[in-house]
Amino acid sequence: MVGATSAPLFLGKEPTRIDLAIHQPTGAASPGADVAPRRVYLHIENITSDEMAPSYDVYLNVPPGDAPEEHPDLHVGGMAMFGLVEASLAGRDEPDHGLTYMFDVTGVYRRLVESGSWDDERVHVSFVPTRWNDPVRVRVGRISLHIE
Amino acid sequence: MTTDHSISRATPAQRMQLFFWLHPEWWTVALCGAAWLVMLQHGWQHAGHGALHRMSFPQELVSWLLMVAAMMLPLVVDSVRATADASLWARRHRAIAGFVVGYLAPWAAVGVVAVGVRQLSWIHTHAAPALVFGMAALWLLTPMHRRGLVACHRRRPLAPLGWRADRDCLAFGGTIGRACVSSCWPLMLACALTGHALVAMIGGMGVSLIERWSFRPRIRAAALGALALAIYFGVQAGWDSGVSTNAPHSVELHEPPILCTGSVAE
Repeated sequence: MVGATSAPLFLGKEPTRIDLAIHQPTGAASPGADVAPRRVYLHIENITSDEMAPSYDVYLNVPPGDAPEEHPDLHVGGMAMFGLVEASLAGRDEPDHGLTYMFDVTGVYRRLVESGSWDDERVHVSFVPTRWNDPVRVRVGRISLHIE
Repeated sequence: MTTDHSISRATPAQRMQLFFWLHPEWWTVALCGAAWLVMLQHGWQHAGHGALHRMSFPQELVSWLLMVAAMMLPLVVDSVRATADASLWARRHRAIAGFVVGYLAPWAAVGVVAVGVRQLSWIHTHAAPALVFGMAALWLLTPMHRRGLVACHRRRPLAPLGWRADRDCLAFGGTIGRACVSSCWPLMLACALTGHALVAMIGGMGVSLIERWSFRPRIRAAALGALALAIYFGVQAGWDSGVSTNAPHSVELHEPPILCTGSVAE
């Protein structure tokens, strides 16, 4: 793990942009280690809500001021919120820790590195909801970036 | 991830380094192994009269914590790994230490009560653990136990750096520790009442593994295991009673309890 948010955050009906401080990978993932081509993963952890919520599209490092939808090459995946309310409640077989998504962002990472747009100290993650009429308040426990 | 090719070329030292890299929980498992060694020695020394012998409060408390480390830490290795994986590489072991301290804290609190019970002289019989193992078998069938068992698999987000990271690791350990206590307290209390007898500890751990390390918890099998332990110690209690009744000159076997003054590992 090279970086993570330090407090929970909330997603709503509007696009949300989160800045994430990251650190140089050390140990097995350090640049000097004898390793296979790196894999990079983005984790969106412990997503919970009391109400139903729209799906979200997730983008990495969209330039400030640009609409994420204008950068399909930076799209890393979609988060369906099906089962979100149920996953937020302790059930017979599952605790109440919500949904967690893990995206393999290796391709986007490589494109960003090759184009010189990768910042070794900071990553921006953008969430774009699908159209939704009702109020939305989705709690995200943590966003983290993993390099292995 | 290291390739198969690079692994085949690695020296033994590199392989060892890779092992420790890939398994940051190694020292938790080692701690558990060390606790088992001490408890095996303790159980061997007091084989046959574990329930009857008596130790001082600090000795009992140390024995309780060693028993918890031996029996419970293997059950939370996944959570230990998750703690390490969710932490920055440089502070993985610090995160694990925070988790383990947080995890042991609720067990230590329960231990104070359990050790207090063990200080009562009339509790030093085989009937007491038999009764509590029977209670544990019933507890395993209750919704309270199921809630605790489910909560043992809970995950919570951890801050990456600073005091928040330490706090979160402690809190995560505490969350899992409380869940484990609510799930397994009668079983552990019964094991303590046997004087940490090896049969009870190995059997109790088997019961925990049956329900914890299966995709769907095998509650009935675990309850049957606890019931088997209750019967085992019930038979011992009956045998003690029979010997006591038939013994010439009515030799008193249970009172006073055998007082062990040495260390846990004596």
